[in-house]
Amino acid sequence: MNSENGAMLIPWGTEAGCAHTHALQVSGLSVDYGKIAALRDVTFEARCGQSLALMGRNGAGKSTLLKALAGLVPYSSTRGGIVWRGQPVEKNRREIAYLPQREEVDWNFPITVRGLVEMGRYAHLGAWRRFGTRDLEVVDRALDAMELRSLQDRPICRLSGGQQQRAFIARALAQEAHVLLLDEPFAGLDREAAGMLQRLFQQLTAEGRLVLASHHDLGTVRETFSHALLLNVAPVAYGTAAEVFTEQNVRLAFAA
Amino acid sequence: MMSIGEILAYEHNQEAIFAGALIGFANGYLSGYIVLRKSALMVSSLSHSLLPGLVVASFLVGLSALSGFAGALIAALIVGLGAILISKRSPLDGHSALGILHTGAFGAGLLLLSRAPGNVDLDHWLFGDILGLADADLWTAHGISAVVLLTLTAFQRPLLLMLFEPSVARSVGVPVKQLDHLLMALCVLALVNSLQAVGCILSIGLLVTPAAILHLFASSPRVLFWGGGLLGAAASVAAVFLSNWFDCPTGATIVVLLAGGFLLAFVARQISDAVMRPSA
Repeated sequence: MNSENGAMLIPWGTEAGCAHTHALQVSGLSVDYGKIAALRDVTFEARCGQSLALMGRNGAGKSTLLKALAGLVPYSSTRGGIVWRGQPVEKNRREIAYLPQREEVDWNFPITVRGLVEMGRYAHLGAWRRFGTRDLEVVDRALDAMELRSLQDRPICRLSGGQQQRAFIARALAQEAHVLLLDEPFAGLDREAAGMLQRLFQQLTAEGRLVLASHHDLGTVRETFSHALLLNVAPVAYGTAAEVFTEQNVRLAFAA
Repeated sequence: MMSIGEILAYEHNQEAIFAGALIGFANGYLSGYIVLRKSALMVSSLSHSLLPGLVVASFLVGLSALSGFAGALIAALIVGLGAILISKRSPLDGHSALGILHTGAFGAGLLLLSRAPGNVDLDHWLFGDILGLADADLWTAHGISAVVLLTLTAFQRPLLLMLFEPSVARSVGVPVKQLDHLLMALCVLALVNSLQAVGCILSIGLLVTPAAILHLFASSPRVLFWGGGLLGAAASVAAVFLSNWFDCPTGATIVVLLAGGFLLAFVARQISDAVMRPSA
Protein backbone atom coordinates (compact mmCIF):
# COMPACT_ATOMS: atom_id res chain seq x y z
CA MET A 1 0.00 0.00 0.00
CA ASN A 2 1.81 3.06 -1.24
CA SER A 3 0.59 6.49 -0.30
CA GLU A 4 1.27 9.41 -2.64
CA ASN A 5 4.69 10.36 -1.41
CA GLY A 6 6.16 6.93 -1.19
CA ALA A 7 5.75 6.37 2.51
CA MET A 8 5.00 2.74 3.33
CA LEU A 9 2.28 1.74 5.70
CA ILE A 10 1.62 -1.81 6.73
CA PRO A 11 -2.03 -2.79 6.25
CA TRP A 12 -3.81 -3.34 9.54
CA GLY A 13 -4.70 -6.85 10.41
CA THR A 14 -1.72 -8.42 8.63
CA GLU A 15 1.17 -9.67 10.71
CA ALA A 16 3.33 -6.82 11.83
CA GLY A 17 6.54 -6.37 9.93
CA CYS A 18 7.68 -2.79 9.85
CA ALA A 19 9.71 -2.02 6.75
CA HIS A 20 10.46 1.57 7.65
CA THR A 21 11.81 3.50 10.57
CA HIS A 22 10.87 7.06 9.81
CA ALA A 23 12.19 9.49 12.36
CA LEU A 24 10.58 12.47 14.05
CA GLN A 25 13.40 14.80 15.05
CA VAL A 26 12.79 17.72 17.35
CA SER A 27 15.66 20.11 17.98
CA GLY A 28 15.82 23.17 20.18
CA LEU A 29 12.05 23.67 20.21
CA SER A 30 10.62 26.48 22.33
CA VAL A 31 7.07 27.79 22.72
CA ASP A 32 6.05 31.02 24.43
CA TYR A 33 2.55 32.10 25.38
CA GLY A 34 3.04 35.86 25.55
CA LYS A 35 5.70 36.39 28.18
CA ILE A 36 5.33 32.91 29.66
CA ALA A 37 7.74 30.23 28.53
CA ALA A 38 5.70 27.06 27.97
CA LEU A 39 8.53 24.96 26.51
CA ARG A 40 12.26 25.54 26.53
CA ASP A 41 14.79 23.99 24.16
CA VAL A 42 13.23 20.54 23.74
CA THR A 43 15.31 18.07 21.75
CA PHE A 44 14.58 14.40 21.09
CA GLU A 45 14.27 11.89 18.30
CA ALA A 46 11.56 9.24 18.07
CA ARG A 47 11.03 6.57 15.43
CA CYS A 48 8.15 4.62 13.98
CA GLY A 49 7.40 1.60 16.08
CA GLN A 50 7.91 3.47 19.32
CA SER A 51 5.38 4.74 21.78
CA LEU A 52 6.49 7.80 23.68
CA ALA A 53 4.95 9.03 26.91
CA LEU A 54 5.18 12.75 27.65
CA MET A 55 5.23 13.14 31.41
CA GLY A 56 5.50 15.95 33.91
CA ARG A 57 3.47 18.01 36.33
CA ASN A 58 0.61 20.27 35.18
CA GLY A 59 2.00 23.14 33.15
CA ALA A 60 5.16 21.21 32.28
CA GLY A 61 4.41 21.66 28.57
CA LYS A 62 3.06 18.21 27.61
CA SER A 63 0.00 19.50 25.76
CA THR A 64 1.98 22.39 24.34
CA LEU A 65 4.54 20.02 22.85
CA LEU A 66 1.79 17.94 21.22
CA LYS A 67 0.14 21.09 19.86
CA ALA A 68 3.44 22.39 18.50
CA LEU A 69 4.06 19.06 16.76
CA ALA A 70 0.54 19.24 15.28
CA GLY A 71 1.09 22.79 14.06
CA LEU A 72 -1.55 24.24 16.38
CA VAL A 73 0.72 26.67 18.25
CA PRO A 74 3.60 28.66 16.80
CA TYR A 75 7.05 27.63 17.98
CA SER A 76 10.56 28.93 17.68
CA SER A 77 13.71 26.92 17.32
CA THR A 78 17.38 27.65 17.70
CA ARG A 79 18.19 24.67 15.49
CA GLY A 80 16.30 22.40 13.10
CA GLY A 81 12.80 22.73 14.57
CA ILE A 82 10.56 19.76 13.79
CA VAL A 83 11.76 17.37 11.10
CA TRP A 84 9.70 14.39 9.96
CA ARG A 85 11.17 11.89 7.47
CA GLY A 86 14.07 14.25 6.77
CA GLN A 87 11.86 17.21 5.84
CA PRO A 88 10.27 20.10 7.74
CA VAL A 89 7.10 18.74 9.31
CA GLU A 90 4.91 21.20 7.36
CA LYS A 91 5.60 19.21 4.18
CA ASN A 92 3.72 16.13 5.35
CA ARG A 93 1.12 17.38 7.81
CA ARG A 94 -1.36 14.74 6.69
CA GLU A 95 0.84 11.98 8.09
CA ILE A 96 0.52 13.39 11.58
CA ALA A 97 -2.82 13.16 13.35
CA TYR A 98 -3.67 15.12 16.48
CA LEU A 99 -6.32 13.77 18.86
CA PRO A 100 -7.55 16.48 21.23
CA GLN A 101 -8.40 15.96 24.88
CA ARG A 102 -11.91 14.59 25.17
CA GLU A 103 -13.33 17.69 26.86
CA GLU A 104 -12.14 19.85 23.94
CA VAL A 105 -14.39 17.99 21.51
CA ASP A 106 -17.95 19.15 20.76
CA TRP A 107 -19.70 15.81 21.35
CA ASN A 108 -23.06 17.29 20.40
CA PHE A 109 -21.89 17.78 16.83
CA PRO A 110 -24.38 15.82 14.70
CA ILE A 111 -22.16 13.10 13.32
CA THR A 112 -22.00 9.32 13.49
CA VAL A 113 -18.91 7.25 14.24
CA ARG A 114 -18.62 6.41 10.56
CA GLY A 115 -19.07 10.06 9.55
CA LEU A 116 -16.25 11.01 11.92
CA VAL A 117 -13.93 8.35 10.52
CA GLU A 118 -14.80 9.40 6.96
CA MET A 119 -13.56 12.89 7.83
CA GLY A 120 -10.09 11.33 8.02
CA ARG A 121 -10.26 10.81 4.24
CA TYR A 122 -10.88 14.52 3.56
CA ALA A 123 -7.14 15.15 3.91
CA HIS A 124 -6.64 12.82 0.91
CA LEU A 125 -9.68 13.76 -1.14
CA GLY A 126 -9.58 17.52 -0.75
CA ALA A 127 -12.81 19.45 -1.10
CA TRP A 128 -14.24 17.85 -4.22
CA ARG A 129 -12.95 14.38 -5.08
CA ARG A 130 -15.50 11.60 -4.63
CA PHE A 131 -15.22 8.77 -2.14
CA GLY A 132 -13.85 5.82 -4.09
CA THR A 133 -13.90 2.12 -3.25
CA ARG A 134 -10.44 2.38 -1.72
CA ASP A 135 -11.58 5.21 0.55
CA LEU A 136 -14.51 3.11 1.72
CA GLU A 137 -12.20 0.15 2.31
CA VAL A 138 -9.81 2.24 4.37
CA VAL A 139 -12.71 3.54 6.47
CA ASP A 140 -14.05 0.00 6.94
CA ARG A 141 -10.64 -1.31 8.01
CA ALA A 142 -10.14 1.59 10.42
CA LEU A 143 -13.51 0.85 12.02
CA ASP A 144 -12.68 -2.87 12.22
CA ALA A 145 -9.25 -2.25 13.71
CA MET A 146 -10.82 -0.17 16.49
CA GLU A 147 -13.68 -2.66 16.94
CA LEU A 148 -16.24 0.00 16.10
CA ARG A 149 -17.99 -1.58 13.11
CA SER A 150 -21.10 -2.46 15.09
CA LEU A 151 -21.26 1.10 16.43
CA GLN A 152 -20.65 2.84 13.11
CA ASP A 153 -24.11 4.42 12.86
CA ARG A 154 -24.19 5.62 16.45
CA PRO A 155 -23.96 9.40 17.04
CA ILE A 156 -20.68 10.30 18.78
CA CYS A 157 -22.58 11.79 21.73
CA ARG A 158 -23.77 8.29 22.66
CA LEU A 159 -20.35 6.67 22.98
CA SER A 160 -18.54 5.72 26.17
CA GLY A 161 -15.19 7.34 26.95
CA GLY A 162 -13.18 4.45 25.57
CA GLN A 163 -15.30 4.27 22.43
CA GLN A 164 -14.87 8.02 21.87
CA GLN A 165 -11.11 7.61 22.11
CA ARG A 166 -11.17 4.69 19.66
CA ALA A 167 -13.36 6.64 17.21
CA PHE A 168 -10.76 9.38 17.02
CA ILE A 169 -7.94 6.83 16.61
CA ALA A 170 -9.98 5.26 13.79
CA ARG A 171 -10.17 8.64 12.14
CA ALA A 172 -6.38 8.95 12.37
CA LEU A 173 -6.07 5.50 10.78
CA ALA A 174 -8.41 6.53 7.96
CA GLN A 175 -6.17 9.56 7.45
CA GLU A 176 -3.32 7.02 7.08
CA ALA A 177 -1.36 8.94 9.66
CA HIS A 178 2.07 7.62 10.69
CA VAL A 179 2.30 9.66 13.83
CA LEU A 180 -0.52 9.83 16.39
CA LEU A 181 -0.43 12.68 18.89
CA LEU A 182 -2.83 12.05 21.78
CA ASP A 183 -3.55 14.48 24.60
CA GLU A 184 -4.30 12.59 27.85
CA PRO A 185 -5.90 9.58 26.13
CA PHE A 186 -6.25 7.61 29.37
CA ALA A 187 -7.93 10.40 31.34
CA GLY A 188 -11.35 9.35 32.59
CA LEU A 189 -11.22 5.80 31.18
CA ASP A 190 -12.25 2.88 33.37
CA ARG A 191 -9.85 0.01 33.90
CA GLU A 192 -11.26 -2.11 31.08
CA ALA A 193 -11.21 0.69 28.50
CA ALA A 194 -7.70 1.68 29.57
CA GLY A 195 -6.52 -1.92 29.12
CA MET A 196 -8.01 -2.01 25.64
CA LEU A 197 -6.39 1.29 24.68
CA GLN A 198 -3.07 -0.03 25.98
CA ARG A 199 -3.35 -3.09 23.70
CA LEU A 200 -4.30 -0.87 20.75
CA PHE A 201 -1.18 1.24 21.31
CA GLN A 202 0.91 -1.93 21.11
CA GLN A 203 -0.89 -2.94 17.92
CA LEU A 204 -0.40 0.51 16.35
CA THR A 205 3.32 0.61 17.09
CA ALA A 206 3.78 -3.00 15.95
CA GLU A 207 2.29 -1.91 12.62
CA GLY A 208 4.94 0.77 12.33
CA ARG A 209 3.23 3.83 13.72
CA LEU A 210 4.70 6.29 16.16
CA VAL A 211 2.46 7.07 19.12
CA LEU A 212 3.09 10.14 21.29
CA ALA A 213 0.80 10.72 24.23
CA SER A 214 0.74 12.88 27.31
CA HIS A 215 0.29 10.72 30.35
CA HIS A 216 0.34 11.17 34.09
CA ASP A 217 0.15 7.77 35.68
CA LEU A 218 3.62 6.77 36.84
CA GLY A 219 2.23 3.35 37.73
CA THR A 220 1.25 2.33 34.19
CA VAL A 221 3.75 4.19 32.04
CA ARG A 222 6.32 1.37 31.80
CA GLU A 223 3.84 -1.25 30.62
CA THR A 224 2.13 1.10 28.16
CA PHE A 225 4.96 3.00 26.49
CA SER A 226 8.36 1.99 25.12
CA HIS A 227 9.91 5.41 25.66
CA ALA A 228 9.34 8.44 27.84
CA LEU A 229 10.16 12.13 27.81
CA LEU A 230 10.10 13.82 31.20
CA LEU A 231 9.31 17.51 30.89
CA ASN A 232 9.47 20.43 33.24
CA VAL A 233 9.18 23.21 30.65
CA ALA A 234 12.70 22.16 29.68
CA PRO A 235 13.34 18.45 29.07
CA VAL A 236 14.49 16.55 32.19
CA ALA A 237 15.16 13.11 30.78
CA TYR A 238 14.55 11.14 27.60
CA GLY A 239 15.06 7.47 26.82
CA THR A 240 13.44 4.09 27.19
CA ALA A 241 10.77 4.03 29.83
CA ALA A 242 13.02 1.93 32.08
CA GLU A 243 15.93 4.38 31.85
CA VAL A 244 13.95 7.55 32.43
CA PHE A 245 12.15 6.84 35.65
CA THR A 246 14.95 7.08 38.16
CA GLU A 247 14.09 8.58 41.49
CA GLN A 248 16.20 11.64 40.80
CA ASN A 249 14.60 12.35 37.40
CA VAL A 250 11.12 12.06 38.81
CA ARG A 251 12.04 14.43 41.62
CA LEU A 252 13.45 16.96 39.13
CA ALA A 253 10.43 16.73 36.88
CA PHE A 254 7.80 17.13 39.54
CA ALA A 255 9.58 19.83 41.55
CA ALA A 256 7.60 23.03 41.19
CA MET B 1 -62.21 31.73 2.56
CA MET B 2 -60.42 31.21 -0.75
CA SER B 3 -59.59 27.69 -1.83
CA ILE B 4 -56.00 26.74 -2.59
CA GLY B 5 -56.87 26.86 -6.29
CA GLU B 6 -58.24 30.39 -5.99
CA ILE B 7 -55.13 31.57 -4.19
CA LEU B 8 -52.93 30.03 -6.85
CA ALA B 9 -54.91 31.79 -9.57
CA TYR B 10 -53.35 35.12 -8.60
CA GLU B 11 -50.03 35.72 -10.25
CA HIS B 12 -48.63 37.62 -7.27
CA ASN B 13 -49.42 34.63 -5.07
CA GLN B 14 -47.65 32.25 -7.45
CA GLU B 15 -44.62 34.50 -7.37
CA ALA B 16 -44.74 34.76 -3.61
CA ILE B 17 -44.93 30.99 -3.23
CA PHE B 18 -42.06 30.47 -5.62
CA ALA B 19 -39.90 33.13 -3.99
CA GLY B 20 -40.81 31.85 -0.52
CA ALA B 21 -39.80 28.31 -1.42
CA LEU B 22 -36.52 29.50 -2.91
CA ILE B 23 -35.51 31.90 -0.15
CA GLY B 24 -36.80 29.53 2.52
CA PHE B 25 -34.73 26.69 1.11
CA ALA B 26 -31.50 28.68 0.71
CA ASN B 27 -31.74 30.24 4.17
CA GLY B 28 -32.86 27.00 5.78
CA TYR B 29 -29.88 25.24 4.22
CA LEU B 30 -27.54 27.94 5.53
CA SER B 31 -29.15 27.69 8.97
CA GLY B 32 -27.37 24.34 9.45
CA TYR B 33 -24.01 26.07 9.18
CA ILE B 34 -25.08 28.89 11.50
CA VAL B 35 -26.30 26.45 14.16
CA LEU B 36 -23.09 24.40 13.95
CA ARG B 37 -21.03 27.61 14.01
CA LYS B 38 -23.03 28.56 17.16
CA SER B 39 -23.32 32.10 15.89
CA ALA B 40 -27.07 32.77 15.94
CA LEU B 41 -26.77 35.87 18.12
CA MET B 42 -23.98 37.25 15.99
CA VAL B 43 -26.03 36.81 12.82
CA SER B 44 -28.97 38.40 14.61
CA SER B 45 -27.03 41.54 15.39
CA LEU B 46 -25.66 41.46 11.86
CA SER B 47 -29.23 41.48 10.52
CA HIS B 48 -30.04 44.67 12.46
CA SER B 49 -26.80 46.29 11.34
CA LEU B 50 -27.74 45.95 7.68
CA LEU B 51 -30.58 48.47 7.81
CA PRO B 52 -28.63 51.75 7.50
CA GLY B 53 -26.53 50.28 4.67
CA LEU B 54 -29.61 49.25 2.74
CA VAL B 55 -31.33 52.59 3.29
CA VAL B 56 -28.29 54.61 2.19
CA ALA B 57 -27.88 52.38 -0.87
CA SER B 58 -31.53 52.84 -1.83
CA PHE B 59 -31.19 56.64 -1.47
CA LEU B 60 -28.06 56.81 -3.57
CA VAL B 61 -28.67 54.38 -6.42
CA GLY B 62 -32.02 52.73 -5.77
CA LEU B 63 -32.36 49.34 -4.12
CA SER B 64 -31.20 46.43 -6.23
CA ALA B 65 -29.51 43.15 -5.35
CA LEU B 66 -26.06 44.59 -5.98
CA SER B 67 -26.53 47.94 -4.27
CA GLY B 68 -28.38 46.23 -1.42
CA PHE B 69 -25.58 43.73 -0.91
CA ALA B 70 -22.88 46.41 -1.13
CA GLY B 71 -24.67 48.64 1.36
CA ALA B 72 -25.45 45.77 3.69
CA LEU B 73 -21.91 44.42 3.54
CA ILE B 74 -20.36 47.83 4.28
CA ALA B 75 -22.71 48.35 7.22
CA ALA B 76 -22.01 44.82 8.51
CA LEU B 77 -18.25 45.32 8.17
CA ILE B 78 -18.32 48.65 9.99
CA VAL B 79 -20.29 47.14 12.87
CA GLY B 80 -18.35 43.85 12.97
CA LEU B 81 -14.88 45.33 12.68
CA GLY B 82 -15.85 48.20 14.96
CA ALA B 83 -16.86 45.73 17.66
CA ILE B 84 -13.51 43.92 17.32
CA LEU B 85 -11.62 47.23 17.51
CA ILE B 86 -13.51 48.37 20.62
CA SER B 87 -13.03 45.04 22.40
CA LYS B 88 -9.28 45.14 21.66
CA ARG B 89 -8.74 48.78 22.64
CA SER B 90 -10.93 48.90 25.74
CA PRO B 91 -11.88 46.75 28.72
CA LEU B 92 -15.25 46.06 27.05
CA ASP B 93 -15.92 42.56 25.67
CA GLY B 94 -16.88 41.89 22.05
CA HIS B 95 -20.53 41.08 22.79
CA SER B 96 -21.12 44.36 24.63
CA ALA B 97 -19.41 46.28 21.85
CA LEU B 98 -21.56 44.49 19.27
CA GLY B 99 -24.67 45.26 21.34
CA ILE B 100 -23.89 48.98 21.31
CA LEU B 101 -22.96 49.18 17.65
CA HIS B 102 -25.73 47.08 16.14
CA THR B 103 -28.51 48.86 18.01
CA GLY B 104 -26.87 52.19 17.13
CA ALA B 105 -26.72 51.21 13.47
CA PHE B 106 -30.31 49.97 13.52
CA GLY B 107 -31.49 53.22 15.12
CA ALA B 108 -29.60 55.23 12.53
CA GLY B 109 -31.30 53.20 9.81
CA LEU B 110 -34.71 53.97 11.30
CA LEU B 111 -33.92 57.69 11.49
CA LEU B 112 -32.78 57.69 7.87
CA LEU B 113 -35.96 55.91 6.82
CA SER B 114 -38.10 58.48 8.61
CA ARG B 115 -36.49 61.18 6.45
CA ALA B 116 -36.95 59.15 3.26
CA PRO B 117 -38.50 60.96 0.29
CA GLY B 118 -41.88 59.67 -0.83
CA ASN B 119 -43.85 57.29 1.35
CA VAL B 120 -41.62 54.45 2.50
CA ASP B 121 -43.41 51.68 4.30
CA LEU B 122 -41.26 51.02 7.33
CA ASP B 123 -43.03 47.74 8.05
CA HIS B 124 -41.86 46.20 4.79
CA TRP B 125 -38.24 46.85 5.67
CA LEU B 126 -38.57 45.53 9.16
CA PHE B 127 -40.96 42.63 8.76
CA GLY B 128 -40.94 41.77 5.06
CA ASP B 129 -43.58 41.82 2.37
CA ILE B 130 -43.35 38.69 0.30
CA LEU B 131 -46.70 39.33 -1.37
CA GLY B 132 -45.38 42.59 -2.78
CA LEU B 133 -42.51 40.97 -4.68
CA ALA B 134 -41.68 42.48 -8.07
CA ASP B 135 -40.29 40.50 -11.00
CA ALA B 136 -36.81 41.94 -10.52
CA ASP B 137 -36.83 40.81 -6.88
CA LEU B 138 -37.62 37.28 -7.98
CA TRP B 139 -34.58 37.15 -10.24
CA THR B 140 -32.48 38.51 -7.44
CA ALA B 141 -33.77 35.78 -5.15
CA HIS B 142 -32.87 33.17 -7.78
CA GLY B 143 -29.34 34.49 -8.13
CA ILE B 144 -28.56 34.91 -4.46
CA SER B 145 -30.05 31.52 -3.53
CA ALA B 146 -27.98 29.82 -6.22
CA VAL B 147 -24.77 31.50 -5.05
CA VAL B 148 -25.40 30.56 -1.41
CA LEU B 149 -26.30 26.94 -2.15
CA LEU B 150 -23.49 26.31 -4.64
CA THR B 151 -20.82 27.87 -2.42
CA LEU B 152 -21.92 25.95 0.66
CA THR B 153 -22.05 22.66 -1.25
CA ALA B 154 -18.70 23.21 -2.93
CA PHE B 155 -16.91 23.93 0.34
CA GLN B 156 -18.87 21.51 2.50
CA ARG B 157 -15.92 19.32 3.54
CA PRO B 158 -13.52 22.05 4.65
CA LEU B 159 -16.43 23.91 6.27
CA LEU B 160 -17.38 20.79 8.23
CA LEU B 161 -13.80 20.29 9.40
CA MET B 162 -13.72 23.93 10.47
CA LEU B 163 -17.05 23.79 12.30
CA PHE B 164 -16.21 20.56 14.13
CA GLU B 165 -12.64 21.29 15.20
CA PRO B 166 -11.24 24.61 13.99
CA SER B 167 -7.79 24.03 15.42
CA VAL B 168 -7.42 20.52 14.00
CA ALA B 169 -8.74 21.78 10.65
CA ARG B 170 -6.04 24.44 10.63
CA SER B 171 -3.40 21.80 11.35
CA VAL B 172 -4.31 19.84 8.21
CA GLY B 173 -4.14 22.95 6.06
CA VAL B 174 -7.77 24.17 5.96
CA PRO B 175 -7.79 28.00 5.56
CA VAL B 176 -10.04 28.44 8.60
CA LYS B 177 -10.03 32.23 8.76
CA GLN B 178 -10.88 32.70 5.08
CA LEU B 179 -13.65 30.09 5.26
CA ASP B 180 -15.12 31.82 8.29
CA HIS B 181 -15.18 35.12 6.42
CA LEU B 182 -16.79 33.39 3.45
CA LEU B 183 -19.50 32.00 5.73
CA MET B 184 -20.17 35.46 7.16
CA ALA B 185 -20.36 36.96 3.65
CA LEU B 186 -22.90 34.28 2.71
CA CYS B 187 -24.89 35.21 5.82
CA VAL B 188 -25.00 38.84 4.70
CA LEU B 189 -26.14 37.72 1.23
CA ALA B 190 -28.84 35.49 2.72
CA LEU B 191 -29.99 38.29 5.02
CA VAL B 192 -30.33 40.69 2.08
CA ASN B 193 -32.17 37.95 0.22
CA SER B 194 -34.65 37.31 3.01
CA LEU B 195 -35.34 41.00 3.59
CA GLN B 196 -38.22 40.83 1.12
CA ALA B 197 -39.69 37.72 2.71
CA VAL B 198 -39.27 38.24 6.44
CA GLY B 199 -37.64 41.66 6.85
CA CYS B 200 -34.49 42.40 8.79
CA ILE B 201 -35.83 41.81 12.30
CA LEU B 202 -37.37 38.39 11.67
CA SER B 203 -34.75 37.13 9.23
CA ILE B 204 -32.77 35.41 11.98
CA GLY B 205 -35.72 33.04 12.53
CA LEU B 206 -35.35 31.63 9.05
CA LEU B 207 -31.56 31.45 9.49
CA VAL B 208 -31.54 29.46 12.74
CA THR B 209 -34.76 27.61 13.46
CA PRO B 210 -34.97 25.14 10.52
CA ALA B 211 -31.66 23.42 11.33
CA ALA B 212 -32.19 23.84 15.07
CA ILE B 213 -35.32 21.68 14.80
CA LEU B 214 -33.37 18.91 13.06
CA HIS B 215 -30.38 19.23 15.39
CA LEU B 216 -32.62 17.75 18.09
CA PHE B 217 -32.73 14.43 16.21
CA ALA B 218 -30.19 14.28 13.40
CA SER B 219 -26.83 12.57 13.55
CA SER B 220 -25.54 13.83 10.22
CA PRO B 221 -24.74 17.40 9.24
CA ARG B 222 -26.21 16.80 5.79
CA VAL B 223 -29.62 16.18 7.37
CA LEU B 224 -29.32 19.61 9.00
CA PHE B 225 -28.47 21.27 5.68
CA TRP B 226 -30.93 19.62 3.28
CA GLY B 227 -33.66 19.08 5.88
CA GLY B 228 -33.24 22.68 7.05
CA GLY B 229 -33.74 23.79 3.44
CA LEU B 230 -36.92 21.75 3.12
CA LEU B 231 -38.33 23.00 6.42
CA GLY B 232 -37.51 26.61 5.53
CA ALA B 233 -39.21 26.24 2.15
CA ALA B 234 -42.25 24.46 3.63
CA ALA B 235 -42.76 27.11 6.32
CA SER B 236 -42.47 29.92 3.79
CA VAL B 237 -44.95 28.37 1.36
CA ALA B 238 -47.41 27.49 4.14
CA ALA B 239 -47.17 31.06 5.42
CA VAL B 240 -48.24 32.48 2.04
CA PHE B 241 -51.45 30.44 2.23
CA LEU B 242 -52.07 31.20 5.89
CA SER B 243 -51.60 34.93 5.37
CA ASN B 244 -54.12 34.78 2.51
CA TRP B 245 -56.67 32.95 4.64
CA PHE B 246 -56.28 34.84 7.89
CA ASP B 247 -55.06 38.18 6.54
CA CYS B 248 -51.92 38.07 8.69
CA PRO B 249 -48.39 39.27 7.87
CA THR B 250 -46.41 36.60 6.02
CA GLY B 251 -42.98 37.19 7.57
CA ALA B 252 -44.31 36.86 11.09
CA THR B 253 -46.23 33.74 10.08
CA ILE B 254 -43.06 32.08 8.72
CA VAL B 255 -41.06 32.54 11.91
CA VAL B 256 -43.98 31.65 14.19
CA LEU B 257 -44.56 28.42 12.24
CA LEU B 258 -40.89 27.53 12.57
CA ALA B 259 -40.68 28.42 16.26
CA GLY B 260 -43.85 26.39 16.91
CA GLY B 261 -42.28 23.48 15.03
CA PHE B 262 -39.20 23.77 17.20
CA LEU B 263 -41.21 23.68 20.42
CA LEU B 264 -43.12 20.60 19.22
CA ALA B 265 -39.86 18.90 18.24
CA PHE B 266 -38.34 19.76 21.60
CA VAL B 267 -41.28 18.22 23.47
CA ALA B 268 -41.16 15.15 21.20
CA ARG B 269 -37.48 14.72 22.01
CA GLN B 270 -38.08 15.00 25.74
CA ILE B 271 -40.72 12.29 25.46
CA SER B 272 -38.57 10.01 23.32
CA ASP B 273 -35.64 10.45 25.74
CA ALA B 274 -37.89 9.48 28.63
CA VAL B 275 -39.18 6.42 26.77
CA MET B 276 -35.71 5.31 25.63
CA ARG B 277 -34.23 5.54 29.12
CA PRO B 278 -36.99 4.56 31.51
CA SER B 279 -34.54 3.55 34.24
CA ALA B 280 -32.59 6.82 34.28
